[in-house]
Amino acid sequence: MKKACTWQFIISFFLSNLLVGQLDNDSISLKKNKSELRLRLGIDLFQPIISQIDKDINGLELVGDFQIKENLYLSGEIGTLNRNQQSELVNFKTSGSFIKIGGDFNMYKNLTGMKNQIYLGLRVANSFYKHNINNYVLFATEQVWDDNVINSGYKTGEINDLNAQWIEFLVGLKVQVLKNTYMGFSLRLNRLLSTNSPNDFGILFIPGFNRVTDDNIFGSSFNYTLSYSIPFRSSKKNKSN
Amino acid sequence: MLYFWKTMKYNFFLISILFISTIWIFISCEKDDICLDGTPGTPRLIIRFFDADSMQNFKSTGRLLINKVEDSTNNFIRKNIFGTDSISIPLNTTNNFTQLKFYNNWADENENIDTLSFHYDRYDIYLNRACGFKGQFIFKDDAVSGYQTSESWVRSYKIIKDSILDEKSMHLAIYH
Repeated sequence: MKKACTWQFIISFFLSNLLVGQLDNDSISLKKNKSELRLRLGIDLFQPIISQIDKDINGLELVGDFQIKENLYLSGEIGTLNRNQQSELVNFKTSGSFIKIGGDFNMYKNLTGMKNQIYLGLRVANSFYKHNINNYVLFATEQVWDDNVINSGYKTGEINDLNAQWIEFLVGLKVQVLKNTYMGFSLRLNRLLSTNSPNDFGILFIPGFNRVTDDNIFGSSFNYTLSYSIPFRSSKKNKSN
Repeated sequence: MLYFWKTMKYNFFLISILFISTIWIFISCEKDDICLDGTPGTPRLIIRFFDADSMQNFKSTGRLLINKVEDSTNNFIRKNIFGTDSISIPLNTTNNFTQLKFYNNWADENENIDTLSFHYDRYDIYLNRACGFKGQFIFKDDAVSGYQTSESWVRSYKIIKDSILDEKSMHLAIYH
């Protein structure tokens, strides 16, 4: 098992404890205003941080949700990602953007006026991207010639107009940390629905979906979000005022 | 009833979060792919040696050594002290040719060195995530050069297969 994954798990575990702890202790003033609707907008904190640490990754993801029923939210993510990576003998760059749209069902019973969430969600996602094969070493049973990295010509270069569709199942939580400010994270299981695959290269990585393996159509991803909730009253309420 | 629904709901949530996080960890921390043993890689050139006088018959070389042009004989690619009628050669994938020194009767008084070049074009094909790409070769019209001098032990050659796609059978016959 990779070290990075272990750390991801440990950090996630502690953060979840922290956030769940907050859920129990929060005592924010009760406000009885059921007709208030909220649009929450935010960013994924993980992408800008990892972009600073790892020069091969450059990404941004914006998130948003909108309350349509008491426990039902319309939500989505939109983002871009450029990533260089070495996959065994091939070094390639993936760049593209993705959009995910779906809903969250809140399962946490709030005190009146609070909008904390522990939720299950579903997304339909689409990504448009391209691969660029930077260099590769040919697979051979015997290597006798030095300097066998192929940097130009042959199969190096861009593969354009790739796209992929998938669905995501997620669990997550959002907790108010300041007035109108929420932190949250979600774990996502992705199931690939369809892709167009290049003739002379495989689908190794899809922005938003992450790593694709040869032998199954499932993937995984996560995000840590910081979002700001913009309150506005419904038109009904305005009329009655 | 309401209480029952509430506990149901939380149990359902608990099971979901456990289920998704377990599978999530399992999938995201999957071990690296390994290219399976026995996957055919970039094929080597397979040469068999024939008798120049009766061209249907195999004829073994004398004590044979093959190395790169710039290397000493301590640093060889192939060595066969009893001679052989069949060898495989890894082709150079950074150039369109491979140049090698063939020592017949190596370290004997009648040692004879031919510097042979094999000329080809290369095409790469994608295998899978773990193995990446492999090369395939197609001989050019003048496939072999370097044997035309009067002292050389190689007399002529014949292309048996002009495309080198696998290592199942010989690609080139050399007459001596």
